[in-house]
Amino acid sequence: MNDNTAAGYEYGKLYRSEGKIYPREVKGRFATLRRLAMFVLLGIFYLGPWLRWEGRQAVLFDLPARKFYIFGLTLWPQDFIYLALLLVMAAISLFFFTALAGRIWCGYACPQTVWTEAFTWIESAIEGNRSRRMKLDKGPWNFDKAWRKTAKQVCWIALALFTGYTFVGYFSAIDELTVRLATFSAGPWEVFWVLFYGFATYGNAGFMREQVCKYMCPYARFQSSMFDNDTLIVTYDTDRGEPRGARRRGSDHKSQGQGDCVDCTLCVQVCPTGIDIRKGLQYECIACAACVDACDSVMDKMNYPRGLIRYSTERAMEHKNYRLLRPRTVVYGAILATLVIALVSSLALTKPVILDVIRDRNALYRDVGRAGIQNTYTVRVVNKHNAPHDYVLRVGGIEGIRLESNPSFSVAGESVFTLPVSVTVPHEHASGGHTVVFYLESTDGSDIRIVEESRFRGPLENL
Amino acid sequence: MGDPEDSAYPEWTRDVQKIAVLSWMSFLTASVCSVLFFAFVDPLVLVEAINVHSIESRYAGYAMGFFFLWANGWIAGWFTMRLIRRKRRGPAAGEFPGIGTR
Repeated sequence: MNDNTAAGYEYGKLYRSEGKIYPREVKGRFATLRRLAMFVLLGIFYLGPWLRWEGRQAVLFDLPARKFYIFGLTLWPQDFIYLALLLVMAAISLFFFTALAGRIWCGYACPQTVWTEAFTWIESAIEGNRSRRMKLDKGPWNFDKAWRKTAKQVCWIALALFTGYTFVGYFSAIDELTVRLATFSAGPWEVFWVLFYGFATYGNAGFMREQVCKYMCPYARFQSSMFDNDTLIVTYDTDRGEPRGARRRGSDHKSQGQGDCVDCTLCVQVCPTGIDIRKGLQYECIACAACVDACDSVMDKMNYPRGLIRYSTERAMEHKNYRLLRPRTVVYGAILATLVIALVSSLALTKPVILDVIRDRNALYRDVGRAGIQNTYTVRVVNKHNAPHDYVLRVGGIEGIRLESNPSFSVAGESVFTLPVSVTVPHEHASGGHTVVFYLESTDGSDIRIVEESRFRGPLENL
Repeated sequence: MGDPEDSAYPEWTRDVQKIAVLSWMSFLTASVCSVLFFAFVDPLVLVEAINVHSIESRYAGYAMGFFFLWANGWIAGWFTMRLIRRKRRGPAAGEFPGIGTR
């Protein structure tokens, strides 16, 4: 029972003290699905950095070099706006899928759930099932308890550190990182992030677990605003279950006025957040469906039909039709589709070569005698191609304009080339401000042509 | 089978909840903000501009920026919580806590 003495009315102790959580293991369709999701998602995470693409790491957010590689795509710092767009898209898809399927993210895909699943799996493999774990914790410190506890901690710490190492492997090439770590020559910050992320994994998945969902997760608090009557939720069929109560197997409970719920409280025992789903939907529910599996197993034993606790919607519980198209899904879907189209088309239209012309701001212009008036610029060519290219630079836009520097140069693959150039215009055409046009053309047959405008300044006529 | 005594579901104390929520929310916002900030600002260029030469690698720059933002969010959140907290209702006059039914 609750240990809320005198209705919890005690100074400084308005809440029950911390106890340890022992969720009961559960077998069933959704438990299998969750375990499958765990293997797939952890597999993607741990194997991800080892995938290769055209001779380099396939997914690498190369922070030291400030370049992101995602398979065939290379993002440069000036493309990082796509990252912001991706973050917005992730948020909107969360809204969209929440409106459709409730907290499907929480139950199956959230890293918190996935790593908690992995950590509890290790725990039960070493310490045994729920009742054995409780007995072990209550029992005295003997050899059995010592080795089990030690083995569990060693496995947990190893998995946590490996997670941290894999995580850092997404940000600095993992093969080189492995060598550096193995030879103790890794940089202090790399080691720090491995430890930091490892510690976070250990703390979140080993100890805090569903407390993170209950108290710390912002999504859990806001999700109700994304729900409507057609959102998929885990729900208890009150009409069918009540009045609940114990009964002998095979007895005709309906004639005794009982519902289908045998009040075995298994659904409460398996719940990782410790709620009673029969009291209705609560914000702590992470839709893991452990109670669905538990209840189904009892229904099978009793020879009752499954689904006393099931995934359903509020409207379905009222025997109304399910509606897929409703304002919420349409609006979220439309926003999401727009963002996806915007991202894909802008990525497809990204120019592989960029020409920047920056006018020298220190000197307005320079009179170079009979030759005319000179302006200086810094020309910057960003070559995002893997291959090097040869270019020739031309200027135009003003009569008699001339480029003083050597107009031919080569830019190596994936690099930035900077070239200071001087442009001279005869006196008779130089007065005032003009638009000068720079043309960059490739001379190696790769058909690159870029035009960029800038300003040319000469002396004002009447001065 | 189910003895509710066994399943002692933990509740965090109010203070633990506060610290956890504060740390986690400031962590999340600091993560997003540092991603966006460093997407546009190269830490080495920034270091050059403010003349702090003790930061030598980009890694160090990212880490410093992240922890600066985290601390910033934490402090702002802590003060916000302190300033908007409501007064806790104490017992009415003549009433003793923990005695009798209430």
